[in-house]
Amino acid sequence: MENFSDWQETLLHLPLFPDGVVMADMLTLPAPLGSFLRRVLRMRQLPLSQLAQLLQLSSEQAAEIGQILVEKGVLQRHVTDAEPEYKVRFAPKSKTRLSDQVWNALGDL
Amino acid sequence: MSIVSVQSFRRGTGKTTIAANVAAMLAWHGQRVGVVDFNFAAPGLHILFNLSEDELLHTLNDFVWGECEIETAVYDLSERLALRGQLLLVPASTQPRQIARVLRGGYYVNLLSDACNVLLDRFQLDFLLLDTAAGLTEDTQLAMAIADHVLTVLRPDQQDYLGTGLIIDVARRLDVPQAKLIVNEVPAAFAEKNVQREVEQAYGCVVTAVLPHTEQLTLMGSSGIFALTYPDHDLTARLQRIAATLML
Repeated sequence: MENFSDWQETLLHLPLFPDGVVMADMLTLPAPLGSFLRRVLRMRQLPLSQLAQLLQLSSEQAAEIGQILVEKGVLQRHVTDAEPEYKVRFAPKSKTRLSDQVWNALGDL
Repeated sequence: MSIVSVQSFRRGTGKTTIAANVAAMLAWHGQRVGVVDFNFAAPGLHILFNLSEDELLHTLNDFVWGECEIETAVYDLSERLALRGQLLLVPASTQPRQIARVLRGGYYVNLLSDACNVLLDRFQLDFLLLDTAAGLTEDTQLAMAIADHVLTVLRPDQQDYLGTGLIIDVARRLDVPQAKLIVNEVPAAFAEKNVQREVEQAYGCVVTAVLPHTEQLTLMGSSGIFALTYPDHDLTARLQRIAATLML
C-alpha cells in the first residue's frame, strides 16, 4: 500500500466514525488501515512529515490522506506553529450500565 | 524511554505487586521510572507504596475528568523509598464515589495515552509502567497498543492458561514489540523448568520469570515493596532479573 491512489481507493470505502474509533477497530479494520492506525497510536502523535514517511507518500499527498482520515473521524489534527500533527481519534469510553440504586449506593451521584 | 504494560486475564495473579516491585527495582538501579494505576475499577497500587488516601490530593481519576493536569497527580516516592533513581507514582482513587463516577460517566480513552506522553516527556522517564485492570478492557488494550513491552502475568492454573492465550493473541495483533510471560505463585512442588518449558511451548512466547509462591510476600499483605524489604531474598533476585531484562 505505497500508492496514493490505492490509499484513496481504500479510504473511499471506509465508513464514518462520527464518535471516533474504539480499540476493537484497531484490531478489525482492514489490514493496511488497521496496521497504519496501530503505528500512529504507537508513535503517539506525529507531524505531517512523519505521516508522509509512514504512508510512503509526498507531504502533499500525505496531507490529503490525513484530511480524509480526519473527515472520516479516525484521526484528529492539531495545528502547531511548525507543521500539523496527527493522532488517533478515540470515541469516549462506553459507560458501565448498572441500576440507579447501585450507583446511588456507591456515592449518590 | 519505554512503556511497560503489566497485564493479566484474571484478577489476583499478583500483577500489581509485580508492577510495583519491578518499578522499584528499576529505580533502585538508578532509572527514572513512572508507574501508573490504570485500574479504575479496582485500584490499589499506592497502598503497596504506603501512600495513604489522605495524601492523595489528586489522582488519575481527577485527570480524566479534566479537574487537574496529570503532573499534579504525580507523587515522587524516591526519597521515601531511598532509591538511587526516581520513582514517580500516579495513583487511581480508591474512594467509592470516585470509582463510581469514572465507571458511570465514561471518559475519553485517549486521555490515558495523552497522560503517558506528558509523563514521559515532562519527567524524562526511562520507563513508564502501566498497572492495568484484569481482562481485555478498552483501557488494557490501549495500554498494550502503546507499550513497548507487555508483561502478562499468569498463575499455574487452567483458567489462567485459557485467558492468557487471548491476551497474547491480542498483543500480537496490536504489534507489541516485546511480549513476555511471568508465571507467578508457582508452588514449591512444581518443577520450575517444566513449568517454564510447558508455558513457552503452549503460547510460543518467552517466559521471562517463574516466581515461586513466597510466604513472606503473603504475610506482608501489600504493606510495602517486597524487594526493598527483603533485598537478599530469592524472589527479589528474580524481580531484579525482570527489571534487568527490561533495561537490555
